[in-house]
Amino acid sequence: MSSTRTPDTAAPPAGVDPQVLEAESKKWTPTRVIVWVAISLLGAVAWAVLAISRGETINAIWFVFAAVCTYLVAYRFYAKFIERKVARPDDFRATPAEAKDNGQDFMPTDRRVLFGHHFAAIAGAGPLVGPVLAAQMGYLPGTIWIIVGVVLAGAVQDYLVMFFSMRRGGRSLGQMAREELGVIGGTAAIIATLLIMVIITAILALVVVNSLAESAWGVYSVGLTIPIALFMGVYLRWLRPGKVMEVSVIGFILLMFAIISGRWVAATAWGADFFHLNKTTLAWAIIIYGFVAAILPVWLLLAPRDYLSTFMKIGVIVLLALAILVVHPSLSVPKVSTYAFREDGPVVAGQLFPFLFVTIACGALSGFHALISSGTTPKLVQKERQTRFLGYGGMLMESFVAIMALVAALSIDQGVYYAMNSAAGATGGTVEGAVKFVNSLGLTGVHLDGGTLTELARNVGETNIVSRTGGAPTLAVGISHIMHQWFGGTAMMGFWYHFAIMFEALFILTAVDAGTRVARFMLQDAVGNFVPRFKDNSWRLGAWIATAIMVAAWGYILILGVTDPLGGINTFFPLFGISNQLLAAIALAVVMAIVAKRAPKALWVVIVPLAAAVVITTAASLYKIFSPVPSIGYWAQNAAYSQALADGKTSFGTAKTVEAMHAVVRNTAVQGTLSVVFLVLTLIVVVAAIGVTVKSLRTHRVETTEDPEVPSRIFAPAGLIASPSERALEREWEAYTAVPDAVGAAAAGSSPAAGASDGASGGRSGSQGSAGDAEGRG
Amino acid sequence: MAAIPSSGRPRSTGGAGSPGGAGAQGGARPVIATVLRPVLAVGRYLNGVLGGDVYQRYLEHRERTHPGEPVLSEREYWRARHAHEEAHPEGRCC
Repeated sequence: MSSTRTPDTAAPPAGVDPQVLEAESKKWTPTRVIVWVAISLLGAVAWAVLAISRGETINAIWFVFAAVCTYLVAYRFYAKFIERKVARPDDFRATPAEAKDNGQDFMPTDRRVLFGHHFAAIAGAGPLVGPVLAAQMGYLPGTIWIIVGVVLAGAVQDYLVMFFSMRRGGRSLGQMAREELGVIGGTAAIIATLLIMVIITAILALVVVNSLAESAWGVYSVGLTIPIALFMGVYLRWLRPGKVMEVSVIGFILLMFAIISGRWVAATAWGADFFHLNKTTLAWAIIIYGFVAAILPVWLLLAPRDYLSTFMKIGVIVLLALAILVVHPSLSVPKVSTYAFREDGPVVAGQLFPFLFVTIACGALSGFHALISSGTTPKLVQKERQTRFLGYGGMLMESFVAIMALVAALSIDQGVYYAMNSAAGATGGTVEGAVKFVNSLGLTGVHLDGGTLTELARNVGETNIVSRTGGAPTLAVGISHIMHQWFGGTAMMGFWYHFAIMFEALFILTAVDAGTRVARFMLQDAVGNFVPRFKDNSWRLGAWIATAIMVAAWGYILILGVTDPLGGINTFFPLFGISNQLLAAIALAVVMAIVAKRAPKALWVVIVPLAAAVVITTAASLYKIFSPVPSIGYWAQNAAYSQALADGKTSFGTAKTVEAMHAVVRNTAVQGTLSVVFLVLTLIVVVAAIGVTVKSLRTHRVETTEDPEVPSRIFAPAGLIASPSERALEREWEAYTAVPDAVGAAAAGSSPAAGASDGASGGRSGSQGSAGDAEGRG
Repeated sequence: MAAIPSSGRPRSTGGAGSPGGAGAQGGARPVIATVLRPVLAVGRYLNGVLGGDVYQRYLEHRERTHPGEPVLSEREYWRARHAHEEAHPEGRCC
């Protein structure tokens, strides 16, 4: 299989001598000292301003400085420390991408390109929605958690999961859990992952439903993305295969047209009528869409929409970052609001601890990333030392997105914020009701009048913005508020609002579709243990049944959410955060078991975030299960409503009918049960991990689950910018590969893609062993 | 995209397929190059992130490992790739 040529001994080394690298990173030239002192000082000043500001307003620019300077210091020093003590990457060792290169899913990829690719896969609606909801507690708690959380927890998890998965040929988190934690821990981890995917898909879908309900413009333009994606799919399949960039640009132009024309359509009587859908109808539409999308061929809908989604994601984030720098809005928000210490917050119930930490999951610590950091990205990493940039750096980038979302949410008027994010049960869904409710909260500096709400609704092209919960509409108002000061003025607010809604809806729909597919495979794999036929992925009927089961699972929770008399998002969002952090706890538990074997002295690097994740999620789950306060405890709420029903009441709290009261009883029972299940599963995994860790610390067990070492025959720098020694080696390689004879030496471990046949190339003889055949590992 | 180099020449990095941002390219278009280069570089970068260059990289991979042997056409490659993705779905995060 490998090249017939003998390894060329004249080839330059595959990495810079570690001692040279070490000396290079420890060499403190005066310029370097000045740069790092400046970064640290700027960061310290920004933090000081955020923490001790006593003014009425605070400028958004300080958030950017505090975040970026902290990220730089953490990346340079803490991530470097982890690299040196825990990961210990070795560039002389081939990555799976190099060793198993098949021109398909294993392919060494330029680090800067892979960074963008990885970032697009991990960052979605999560880091945008959580910070918006957590803005209720004031700006400081959310900011600290997003920045400190990512440095000590989120980025550490992403980095180490990526590194260990890379050392194991790109194995998935589930497979690593089974190997490291044994059968019980591994099985619990897989069940938890499956459940979590269901919850996350349901709640993301709920966010979309809430942002599109009763919005003819939104439904029209987001709906149009489906035919646009289908067109792109057909274009790539038959007209111009492989012209990805070209079709993405065409798709993007069509997308802009969909947004702009939405205003005209929504202004017509038939348009307003036809596209004006209520939440339940929309929920059913998404459920049907989710099923159909997940069984359609990948090339027809998923792949093209993914291009659009990636395009929009990178574009909007760059645009928003520039806009925040240019506009640098002043925010008039309390540093720490009264809801940080109260249990009756109208946006999310519960005090700062633990509820801030589960409301903001993505952006600080997101377990879901472990599923991307294992499996997908590790198969594309060129050199081992690049994982710090990709894993740690990629997560820092997502954290920055969360900070920008927080700034956008904080930039809008506080009264408007509460009017948009309080449940319809509290505001009645009307402007008068919202004004009355918000002004009755008695918050200092918050006064709302109806005119503001009606005018804002008109400016963004919506009929009503009261109780548009879920975070996405608030973020869209925030983005439009910032962007219109830069481009287009008030006349453009509607465009920017719907641009932001489109941007979120696009990648949520992609996540729903992709999540359903992944969950379907996991289900087929699990059921296949009992009914072997289900393991056969090419069995159409089995695939459809498994897809239907997964869609039914998240669809059920979605329907519960949209019909929830208590507001839906308010009661379901904590489950999203808790489950995401539980997955983080599971991922970190697996990492701990591995680190105990290879770097016991630096185990605290993993124990710190793991302990945080376990304490936060356990506390939050316990509150959700046992709190006697009905707005927090699911079972307390359940008991209160059951009692009211038993007493023969026909209306209770925000539930105005007996039917609604029954709905609350049912929903809280589902939520309460899920909380219990999550808690139990996580405790099983963590206990298993502690057991394995203690055992390896005692016995100094060194056996490894890593793949055997293969020498590397390629070189590329580790970080964004090459160091002097890396640049020198790069030049050596360039000179070496310029010599024709040397070609092929780099062809270590080749692969069987497109097997040989004597047919003319391009011939359709089918003997070309499709590139897909190369796959055999799971 | 016209920005993709069309030769299957080997690269020092053995697969840094997508010519990412920095201009390692020789100046082929001398006049408009200065103006166009950053735009093209961004275009190439985005194309790489979207995965638009994978066929090119597949060709380079084949050239390196099985020189002179037949390869899949672009159409066939993409069909195989999508069939593979069908059987190995990748999650998208929240």
